[in-house]
Amino acid sequence: MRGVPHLNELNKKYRERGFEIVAVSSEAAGTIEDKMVKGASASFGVVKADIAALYQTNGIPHGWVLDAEGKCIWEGHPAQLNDAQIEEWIKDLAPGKITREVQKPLKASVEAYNKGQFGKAFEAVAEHLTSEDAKVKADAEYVNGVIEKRKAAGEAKAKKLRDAGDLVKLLPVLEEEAKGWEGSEYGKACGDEAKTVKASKEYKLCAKAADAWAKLEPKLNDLADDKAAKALEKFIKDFAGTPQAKLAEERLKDLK
Amino acid sequence: MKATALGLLALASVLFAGSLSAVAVGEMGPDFKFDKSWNTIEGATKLSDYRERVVLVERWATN
Repeated sequence: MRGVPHLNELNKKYRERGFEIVAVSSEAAGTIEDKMVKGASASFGVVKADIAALYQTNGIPHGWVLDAEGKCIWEGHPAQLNDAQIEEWIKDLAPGKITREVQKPLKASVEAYNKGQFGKAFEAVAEHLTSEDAKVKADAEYVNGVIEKRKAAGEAKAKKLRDAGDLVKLLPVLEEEAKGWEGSEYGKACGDEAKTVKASKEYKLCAKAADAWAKLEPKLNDLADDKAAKALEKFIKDFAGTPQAKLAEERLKDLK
Repeated sequence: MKATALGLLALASVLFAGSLSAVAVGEMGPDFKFDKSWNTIEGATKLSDYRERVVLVERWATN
C-alpha cells in the first residue's frame, strides 16, 4: 500500500493523456475495497483477478507496462516508474474521445471527432478559433489541439511502418486515415499513398514474405541447425528488404 | 498405487511448468478478465479493453 500515493500522482497526471494503471489482486473483493480503494484512497483502476500464472513474478508488488498494441515495454518495481519514461511512452499515442463539456458552437465538431470523422471535426472547429466569445475561443483551441494531436499520432504511426518497410501493416493504417480524414487534404494524401502502396511490387513482396514467414517460423525449431540456416538464408535472399527478412537475419545470428 | 501417484505428480508438474510464464519485455502481455473492478475507465471488463492506451499492469497484495 506504500506505493499508492506515487501511483495516484501518476494517474492524475497521465490518465487523460492515455497512461492507464490497472492494479490487480486476487484477494477477496471486500479486502480489496477496504484496504486499497477506501483505506489507501487509490484513485486509479483496481481490479480483482487471478493473474499469478500469466504474469509470474518473484516479488510483489511488480509491474508490467504494455504499449498500445499490448506488447510489454517495461517491467519492474512500480516505485521505479518515472515521469520521463511515461512521457516517452505516451508521446505518439493517439488521444482518446473528448469527454469534456464544451461550449455549444463546438458540439458539432466534438461529436464528429468522437465518431472518428476527423476531417469533418477539423473543418467544423476552424471558424470558432477566431470567435470573439473568449469561452468559445478557448474551447475551440482545445478541440483543435486534440484533433491536431490525433493527426500527428496517425502520421507518426504511418511513418514508423513506412521506415520499417512494413507495407502490409502500413496499408490498413493509410486506408483508415484516409477514411477518418475524408474531405481534407491530409485524407486525400493518405488515400493516394494507399493506392500507390497497394499497386507496388514492394507491397506484393511484403505480403508474400509475411505469408512465407508465418509458414517457416514455426518449423524452424524442428529442423536441424544446418537445414534451418539454409532455409533462413534462402528466405533472406528471396525477401530482401522486408521486415520478415530482418527477423530471419536475427534468427540466423542466434543460430550461429 | 504409489507409482501412479508419483506419475500424476510428475505429469502435474510438467503441466504446471508449461502454464507458468513470466512476461518479458518484447513479449505480448496476456489478456485477462476482471472479476470485479473499481475506478477503471468506462465499462472496461478485460485488459484488452485498454488497447490504444499504455497500461501499467501491477500485481499487489495486502499481505
